[in-house]
Amino acid sequence: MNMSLFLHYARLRMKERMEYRAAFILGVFAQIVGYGATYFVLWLTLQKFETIGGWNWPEIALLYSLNVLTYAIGAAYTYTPMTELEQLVQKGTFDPVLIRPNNPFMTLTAQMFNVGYLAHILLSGGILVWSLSRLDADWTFGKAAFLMISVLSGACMHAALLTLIGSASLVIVRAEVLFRFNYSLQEFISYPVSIFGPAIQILLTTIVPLAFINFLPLALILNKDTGIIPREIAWLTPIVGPVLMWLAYRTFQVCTNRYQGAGG
Amino acid sequence: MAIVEVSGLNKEFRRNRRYQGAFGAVRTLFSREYTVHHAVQDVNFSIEEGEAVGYVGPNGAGKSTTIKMLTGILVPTSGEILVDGRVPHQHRQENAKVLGAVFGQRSQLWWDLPVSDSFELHQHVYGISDDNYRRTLGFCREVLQLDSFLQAPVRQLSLGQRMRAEMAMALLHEPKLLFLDEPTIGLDVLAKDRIREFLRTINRERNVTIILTTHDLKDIEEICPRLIMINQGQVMFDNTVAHLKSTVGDEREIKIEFVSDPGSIELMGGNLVRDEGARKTIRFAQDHGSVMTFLSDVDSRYPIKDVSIEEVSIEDVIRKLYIQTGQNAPDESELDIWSRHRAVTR
Repeated sequence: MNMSLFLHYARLRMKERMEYRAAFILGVFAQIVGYGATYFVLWLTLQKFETIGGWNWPEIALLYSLNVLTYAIGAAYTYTPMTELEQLVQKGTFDPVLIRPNNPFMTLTAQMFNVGYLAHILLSGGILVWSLSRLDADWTFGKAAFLMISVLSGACMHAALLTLIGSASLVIVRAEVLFRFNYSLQEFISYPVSIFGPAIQILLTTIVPLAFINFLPLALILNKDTGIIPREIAWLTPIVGPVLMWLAYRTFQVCTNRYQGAGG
Repeated sequence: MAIVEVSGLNKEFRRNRRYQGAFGAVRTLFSREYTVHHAVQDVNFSIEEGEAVGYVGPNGAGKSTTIKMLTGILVPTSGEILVDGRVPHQHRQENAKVLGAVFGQRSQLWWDLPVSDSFELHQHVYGISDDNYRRTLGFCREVLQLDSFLQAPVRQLSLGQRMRAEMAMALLHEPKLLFLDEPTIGLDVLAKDRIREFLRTINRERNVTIILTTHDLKDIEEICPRLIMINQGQVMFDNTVAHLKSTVGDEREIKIEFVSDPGSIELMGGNLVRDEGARKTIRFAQDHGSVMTFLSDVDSRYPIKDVSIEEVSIEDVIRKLYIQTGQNAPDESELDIWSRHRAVTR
């Protein structure tokens, strides 16, 4: 699977979506309203308290945008296949993926690429650019590069979490509980992780390392307090995403190898 | 050279034991007990390049399981498979290039897009050169008459048109070996004829090896000289269709309409199957002599007005075997469309 083939798949998905233009635009609009509401709540809170854990409104806006943006990139190619993987395997619709001359994970994620995440990317990308313009951090090339790499690594992390849970659904029943758990945990990283108790800080840097998605890289760039987490750990951000993604990919392979077919 | 070689093939499925009762769910969760289901047991066959083989059996006989092992989707529990000289599940991606697959009930086309879009994607997925693509597509367009709907979204096609498109797509990368799982299911007579003729053509003219599972035995009679019958995971018959017919005695079914009801008649060597007064249906095995002699004999005593002679279809033969094992006629489950568009995001 090369880039041009992946883009071919994505182009077809876009074309397909355009067959139902009204539904697509409505969907984009609904997502913008939904995520816009969260921005609004954060803004209201900061009107009252000025800062949360030492982060002012543009900084919080940047923190939240980085989460939404990386989620959108990761979820665009993993959300749909992973939430439906169990169904695909049960119905036998996963079989054609296995008889293509390409890697099954790549084929699956390309084939089920979801262009609906354009909404998230437009909204969070826009606000991210705005918030960067309002910050008076002294930008260096190093910081800018670190932020870019963090976006890619964060996208890998989100994709990895969805892939892990989707793969688990082939082995354990009722994996949708895990999907919901994942989304509940993500609400924590709308805020600086340092404001939570030690247990949650540790949880979010070790077992479910969501703090690496936005809080830790930004704390490093903006020079913020990292709570009980040693500040140096933030330097691991560029490798946490790829390592998790590799683990998730291996898990996907192990779980799909266990797949024995939906019956004859 | 044999393109498919199967020896001592077994496939077991383990099903965790489920418990009933108040704590059944909890016990199920922690239980390590399971039952073993033998889907395929000690299956052996070999298929030469250019053959067309029908693979039949009642529901749950192990047909799809075998096909899934041949395509590398499932890993055998034991036994050996070689497809074009390779072990399918170890070389899934290389194998994919030499085989094509059509699943009658699982579309591989993009539901909301024109047929041609699915074809072009297929060209990229399989890395088919422009020249080869144009040539093969040209052949398919002509033989399958695709032109009238090549630019139409798949959702607007009739089932017959969709199956033609599926066939064409499976052949675009010029596979040596084509697997067809129920290719004529749900089609009308005309559409079935078209598909069968096409399969005959690619088998005879392009030397594509065909392995076909079906519940419609006409498919076999018209496409496949060879028949492999499987039941409860085991091969029950593997020979030519002609041989199957001769082993059941090469019977003829004779429908006679007499000038008047002859009452009970004496049948020399024949078996009365149905008696409707002046119209009688008789089974006559040819080893008892010629049908014509038999008829003129009957006619000399009870004047015959009209007569029709039919071969006993292999369907009847196989139906007998199905009934012996307590299987019912196949049902057609609902279509499941793979590429139906998905609009959900979160």
